[in-house]
Amino acid sequence: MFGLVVVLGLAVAVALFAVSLRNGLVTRRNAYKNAYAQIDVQLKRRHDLVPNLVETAKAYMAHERGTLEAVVAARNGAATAGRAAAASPGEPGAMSAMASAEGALSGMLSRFMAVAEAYPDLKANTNMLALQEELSSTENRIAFARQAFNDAVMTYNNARETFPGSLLAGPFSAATPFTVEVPAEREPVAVKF
Amino acid sequence: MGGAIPPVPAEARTTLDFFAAQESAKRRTRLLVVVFGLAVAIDAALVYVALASVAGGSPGTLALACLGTVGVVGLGAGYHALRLASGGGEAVAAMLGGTPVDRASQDPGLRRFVNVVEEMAVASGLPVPALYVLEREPGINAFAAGFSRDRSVVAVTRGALDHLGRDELQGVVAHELSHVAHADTRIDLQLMAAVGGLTAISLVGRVLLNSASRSSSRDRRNDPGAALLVAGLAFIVAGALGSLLGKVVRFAVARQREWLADAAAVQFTRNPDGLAGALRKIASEGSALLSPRAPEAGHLLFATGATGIFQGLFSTHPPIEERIRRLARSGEGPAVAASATQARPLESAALASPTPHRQPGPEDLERASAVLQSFPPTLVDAARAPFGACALCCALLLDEAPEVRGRQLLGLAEGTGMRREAEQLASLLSAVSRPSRLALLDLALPALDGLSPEQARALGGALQALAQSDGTTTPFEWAVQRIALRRLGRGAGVPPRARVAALEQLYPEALTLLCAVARAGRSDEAGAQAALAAGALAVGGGAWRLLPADRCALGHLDAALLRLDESTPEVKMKVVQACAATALSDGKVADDEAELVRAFAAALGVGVPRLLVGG
Repeated sequence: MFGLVVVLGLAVAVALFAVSLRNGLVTRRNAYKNAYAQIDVQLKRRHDLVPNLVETAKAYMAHERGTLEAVVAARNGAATAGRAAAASPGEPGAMSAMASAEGALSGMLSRFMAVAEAYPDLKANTNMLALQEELSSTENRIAFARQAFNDAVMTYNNARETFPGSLLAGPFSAATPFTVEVPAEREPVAVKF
Repeated sequence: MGGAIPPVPAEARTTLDFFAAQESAKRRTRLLVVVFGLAVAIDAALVYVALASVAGGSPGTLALACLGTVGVVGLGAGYHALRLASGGGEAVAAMLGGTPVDRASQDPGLRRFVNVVEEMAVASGLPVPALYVLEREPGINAFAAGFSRDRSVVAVTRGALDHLGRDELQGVVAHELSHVAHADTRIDLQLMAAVGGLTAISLVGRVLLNSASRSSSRDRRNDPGAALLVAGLAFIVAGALGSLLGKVVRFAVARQREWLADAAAVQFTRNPDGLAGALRKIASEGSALLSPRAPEAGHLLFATGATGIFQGLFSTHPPIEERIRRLARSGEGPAVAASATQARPLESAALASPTPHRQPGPEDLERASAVLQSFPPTLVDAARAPFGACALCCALLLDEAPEVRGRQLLGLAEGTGMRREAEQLASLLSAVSRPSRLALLDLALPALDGLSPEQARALGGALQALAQSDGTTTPFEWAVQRIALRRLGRGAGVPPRARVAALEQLYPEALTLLCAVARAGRSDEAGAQAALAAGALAVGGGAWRLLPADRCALGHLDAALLRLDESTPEVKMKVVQACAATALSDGKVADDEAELVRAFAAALGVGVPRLLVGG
């Protein structure tokens, strides 16, 4: 009788432990998926910011029309690629197209900033200062969102691959961290000495 | 920062990783909760002793003592929890005089704060908390409060907004958000309530004492009065001991949660220097709050607001120096890539006022930050942006003589603002001593990496033109060019493939360099020959004869350096060290000598040897 109680008690304890392990895995999987959605949110934020930036800079950088147009084109390309990727999430082709479009936009924006360095009036414009803070904050957010995603992926993979979680990991597939695409070599910025 | 930092013991290095640091803090918290359980058990034992003295010991009494203790502690804790929970995060912020921040605010300082908090919310995966600023507080401090992730509050003082840089503010906010993410406010509340529950046992003791005194006044012959008295005293002792132990545990938990938050802040920002910088500023400028009600919220603050009262066991925060030290250590860790780039300006400034070829230690960093602070801030700011760095490189080459300088400035392209910027920086440079100027150049190098290949080529051309415009090239001008060009050419070409491993094959080139250094240090032939002998000894070259001055002029050095660049790093290192030995042979190092050796080291891509002890 006593032995039966002990065996039953142990069985219940093991079952509870297994349930909590499984729930932990589910929670972590959801956490990393949510973290992925955050990256998307921040990328959209950048797309919304670029037109304002260009609008402000236009008045000061009249003879940098080429740079400004390239920035707008890169922004539109990234927005289109982002919509395509959102329509078919997880599809590798669309994802890599989005990543390279975003990489191109990043490259364009840093090139734009380098050019803007040479316009002291533009640099002093309060609107431009505010936009610059917004833009660098957005860049930070994108980086932090990726970092949070990668951290969440790591926690999830750790839980999935280490004992005893590995016993229950059958239906949980491994997640791959986000790797930043290195943008193609930036085109030179024309600055004369 | 002040005093020397003690060396890190080897075993402590194992906690470098911020993930490991967080795990260790969480493990210790769990351990402390077990200790708290022990405190309750000790209390139950004391209560049992008290009851046994009244009713005699039996298993029934033991069960009664345990259940009674747990019941009283539970009830007391529940009562305290209800009382404490009424004040959420908003209440604490209001109590300290905080004003809510509009998230759409256009004020630059507040805008930055809002952005930094939102960034950190993204990094930590939390909802954005409500924001408050303590407008009347000039000290640097911050706190997070609130019992759930969804309804938390983060507040900073006006002093923090004014004095902290963006990275530093980010570190502070990340620390506070970690408290929110790990529910530290709730843990502290629970422990506080449990301590209140333990105190409730004393209350039972007091009630017993009262009834004992009443019963004994009624009937002096009866024993129960004395027994009640003993039991009451035992309850009071149990309660006092329990709540004391409970408090010690609560503060120990609070300190562990601070470590956890520091490590998590590094995880969120991947930049230990930001948080460490904020702590350093607090250490030097203070974090005390003016609000008379600040002590009530002391355990919530970023740094201990009320200082000097609690020490050791009864402190809610670890010592600030220790926090800085652990962060500095996490910066050495391989897991934190960002810190390497962050540390570079300081480190290279340290190397520029020649320091040893070894791992830079704390004293180097201190000297480096002293060097850094001696520069006019405008120059430092300029050195950090690509445009300013270009202008600074040009400004370093501008001549003192007005007519030469005018001609040089005309050579710089018009319309880009470069000419004006360079002229302005040059006027500031006159206040900087010559050895420090190369340190300034080092500071500007990382910004040059941001130039496109076109820009880099243009800058290289401009530097060459500037250096040659007065007809002669001084060792300083030559050094500036060498160092800047080496950096600009980084990654442009493939490094030379031929690897000469035998130093003997490069003796002619080594001799050229050594002679240049020897002649720069000593004007007389005999002195220069002696200096050369010291260097020749270092490369094992035997009795070398001094080359005539025109054979080791700056033009010849370029060719020799190109050839030497094809050798292995060990060979390059030996040659540069021999040059240093030559420079040091007469016990003092002239500016020309130091600049030449710096330029050789830069051109060959090796570290700079120590030239001046304590320079």
